[in-house]
Amino acid sequence: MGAGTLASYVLTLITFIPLLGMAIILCLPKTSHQAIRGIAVISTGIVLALCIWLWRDFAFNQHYLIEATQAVSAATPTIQPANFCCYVSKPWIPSFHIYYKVGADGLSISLIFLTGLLSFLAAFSAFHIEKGVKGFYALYLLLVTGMMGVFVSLDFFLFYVFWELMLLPMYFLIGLWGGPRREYAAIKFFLYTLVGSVLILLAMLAFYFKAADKDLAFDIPYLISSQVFGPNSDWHWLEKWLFLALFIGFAIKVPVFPFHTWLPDAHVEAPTAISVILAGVLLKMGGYGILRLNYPLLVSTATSEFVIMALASLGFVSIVYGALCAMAQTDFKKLVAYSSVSHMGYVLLGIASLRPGAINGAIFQMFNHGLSSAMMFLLVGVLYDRAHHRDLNRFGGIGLHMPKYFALAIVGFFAALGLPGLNGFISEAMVFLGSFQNAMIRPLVVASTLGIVLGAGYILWAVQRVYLGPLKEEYKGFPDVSWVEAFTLVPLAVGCIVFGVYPKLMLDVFAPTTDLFLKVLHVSANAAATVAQAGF
Amino acid sequence: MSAFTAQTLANCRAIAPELALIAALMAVLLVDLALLSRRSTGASVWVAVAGLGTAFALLTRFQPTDAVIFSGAIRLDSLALFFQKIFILGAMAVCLFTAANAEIFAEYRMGEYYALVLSATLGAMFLAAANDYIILVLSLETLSLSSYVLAGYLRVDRRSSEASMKYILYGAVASGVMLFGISYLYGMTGTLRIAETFAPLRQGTQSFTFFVAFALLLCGIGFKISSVPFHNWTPDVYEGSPTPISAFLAVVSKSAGFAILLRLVLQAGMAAPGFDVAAAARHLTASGLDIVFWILAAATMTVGNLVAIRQTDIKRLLGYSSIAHAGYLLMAFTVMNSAAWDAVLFYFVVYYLMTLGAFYVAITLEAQTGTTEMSACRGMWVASPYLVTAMVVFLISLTGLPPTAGFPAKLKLFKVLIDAALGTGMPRGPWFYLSLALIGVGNSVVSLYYYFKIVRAMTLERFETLPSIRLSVFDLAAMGALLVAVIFLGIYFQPVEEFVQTALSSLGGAARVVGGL
Repeated sequence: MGAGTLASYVLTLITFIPLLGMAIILCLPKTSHQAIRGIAVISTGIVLALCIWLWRDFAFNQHYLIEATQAVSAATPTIQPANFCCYVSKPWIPSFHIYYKVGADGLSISLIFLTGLLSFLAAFSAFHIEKGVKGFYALYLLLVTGMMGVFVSLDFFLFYVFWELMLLPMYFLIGLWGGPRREYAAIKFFLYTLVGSVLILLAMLAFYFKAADKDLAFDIPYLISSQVFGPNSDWHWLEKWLFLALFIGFAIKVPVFPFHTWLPDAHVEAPTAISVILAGVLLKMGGYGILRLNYPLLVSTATSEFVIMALASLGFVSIVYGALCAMAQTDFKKLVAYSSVSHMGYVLLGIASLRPGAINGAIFQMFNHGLSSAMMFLLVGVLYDRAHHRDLNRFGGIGLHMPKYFALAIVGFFAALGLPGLNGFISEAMVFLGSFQNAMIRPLVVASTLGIVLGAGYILWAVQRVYLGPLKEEYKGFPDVSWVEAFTLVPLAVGCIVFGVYPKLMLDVFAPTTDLFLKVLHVSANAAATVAQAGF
Repeated sequence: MSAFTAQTLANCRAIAPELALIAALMAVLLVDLALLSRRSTGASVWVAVAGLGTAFALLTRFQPTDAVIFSGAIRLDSLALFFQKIFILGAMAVCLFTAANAEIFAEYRMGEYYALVLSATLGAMFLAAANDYIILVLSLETLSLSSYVLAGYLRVDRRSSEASMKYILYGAVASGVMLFGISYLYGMTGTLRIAETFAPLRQGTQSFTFFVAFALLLCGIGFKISSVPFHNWTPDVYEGSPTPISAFLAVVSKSAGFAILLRLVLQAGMAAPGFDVAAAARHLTASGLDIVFWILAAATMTVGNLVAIRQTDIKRLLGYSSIAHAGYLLMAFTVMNSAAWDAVLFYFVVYYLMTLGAFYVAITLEAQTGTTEMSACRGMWVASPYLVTAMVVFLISLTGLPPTAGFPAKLKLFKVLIDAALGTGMPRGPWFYLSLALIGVGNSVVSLYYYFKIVRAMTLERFETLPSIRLSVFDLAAMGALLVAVIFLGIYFQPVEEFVQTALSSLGGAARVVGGL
């Protein structure tokens, strides 16, 4: 198979190989646990290999970047299929104008890579599950298909189908393999997300109706370029409502304060592997949706002062409120869960500022948070498997007793804390430096730096309570990390260091996409201003 | 032979499917009489299914002609053919479901049962084609009387008798009210043709009495489709009836109600010789009927969904769920354009599949565990993963989530409202339609909660003893077929779309254009 052929099918393969794995698992007998785990690891492994190929192809075969740059320099920049690598378009349901359209740009490639990596590693971290192995991995692989599908779809309908597809396996993965309050957490997750998705559905139908070219009515690049609810439209009054509908839909997933209350429940009750996926990938779908759909589809609302202020304020509240909540926790996993609310607040702050550095920072923050939060959940999982509790105040002195584990833990937690030299620092600094340039939200940015201090506070305090101090008697028998655990943690630790020292490796992938994103937003906004001045 | 007799005989060719059903009905009774031993159970179901199959085969050979036959009593258009086809398939499914789960009827002779199912189906078929009020009332009563008996078929079961009694009392009142309304319409216009009784509306000379009469007519139909405030019988009857009959009421009886409601609405704009969808919508909207439908839709789906939350019995829950679905369907009646009818018919095709699937699971539960209480389903996940998987898919589809067929069906209904809100030339402002769409999506979220109470009981809740479930080959095949259909049509719904398009051909050329989304 030549590289050209692979390029046209790679996204389809990435999306559907897990589904194939699921079909194979369903045919295996219930008791052959090793074979089931093997299939899960092999299928996610192939997906990871393809993701690496995709990333390498995109980062080093610069022709996609060149096309993206050309589009930026064009007179009226817009997002076109040409800006997406591995673009495929096939009719699916012609009378509904639904197409199977997939493609990837810098934004999606970084998240596809993250998803591939985390789904491979999380498959290992679930090896200790002995109850209902067949069901677990079958649902797990269905979940991977859903997540990948969201990141590759360029057809709104297709995007929505994948967005919903992922809910059902997640419900069962939390509900069947979760902690004591799993039933409550599972249905709460499902209902919250569904409220968001039905709002997205209504917005999707509105776009469909107003699209001038019905055949492209679900085509995301076309909808972006046509701006049917822009200032020139009779339906401009609806734009703010559509923005609100889409934003709530995606904000629930991020999650942005005040839509975050499902997250602590879901993260705490989910088994470790699923917490990793939840924090590492599912939250990113919210950020991805805002960048891919919410902003570019509704440019004039997205660039309005009110939205900039409102979203930056929500980002600020999420950062500080999440950090304060994290500080108040005694459950280790809940602390990590609330830290996600805080860290995803930076993403929203960066996006709201509409400055190139900040948006690059926001995307990079999503990627980095994927690595560090996944790592933190794995680290908590390692401890929980030994101690069978997660009470921060009952731990102590584990660091010296389990040195390898301690070393990995330090990398993970300090990456989340934003220590220079690790990846979290770069993205948080980029968000702050970038958004500070937007004078309107400058006070909020300054206030948000409080999040750094609070973040250092809760992480250092947790590290102190768990790893430092005298070793308690009950933890003396704990073995250090096993091979499987090390195998899941080391790649993430390496990632945290590599992307901290040489962030260009990932920044170069999505920087042109960000430029194009901003050009699309600004030019349309400028055009709107011109029209308004001309007295239309 | 007089010309009239010749005409009538010629017309009989056009009702060949119905005649086939009548023949099958009598054959079932004769077979039952001839074989007085218990073996007759097996024989009568095959006779009934063969009769239904013949009727379906005859139906598929018909081309919709829009011909008005039997002196204007019956109108054989594509809409009638569509509903008749799905009625027959639904009735066939109910017969097969009954035969495969004979445990429910262990102590009863089944000959009359199948005869009654056939006569109810016959009533529904004539109802779908009714062109005057005599046929409307007669066929509605045929359907209803048969249903009353079927609901109480488990004579020694107190709940079944109670269900039948409630159904009769409610039904008799509803029929009476409807007849009273029809008598006014007849008195005002001097005709029993449905289309002609709407003449005052078309000419703009309608009096207040006309609205009262029409409202009384709507009451009777509201009872059949279990719309709020005529819905109270539904959960009790669904709970008490033998489960296959609950399924029959939920699919065939309800869609027959909608078939006649749809026909009434279309007849309001009747322009000889065909329907004029736009004129119908214009006349009815001018009288504010869309506001009535708005209120009925919002109330029906909200009440159905909210009360369903508290239910602990699966049959009762499905009863409230069927009320909620009537509410979703009524949403399209606020818009009344071709796209709305397209969405309604599409919804029915999908509704049949998913509702029959969910009821089939309930039938299996009742036959094997003797109860349809949710608490009795605990541990079902371990006892029969296949049954649980099927139920999950049917419930997801009832909620309207992808990748099941319920998603495009619901999407089309919401699409109708969004289009009406954003379109030009609509009689009401955008928020009239948008608010209903918002109520609709809010209800979809609520419905997820109670549908997943069943899923939760089957999968997540702790259990002491494993329920004993043994699925027969027919169980596996029936659930499997419905399961595959619901998922396949969720991923590729072009076939449903094409089927519905043929059903809309009598609505004129414009309907074809609005097909799809």
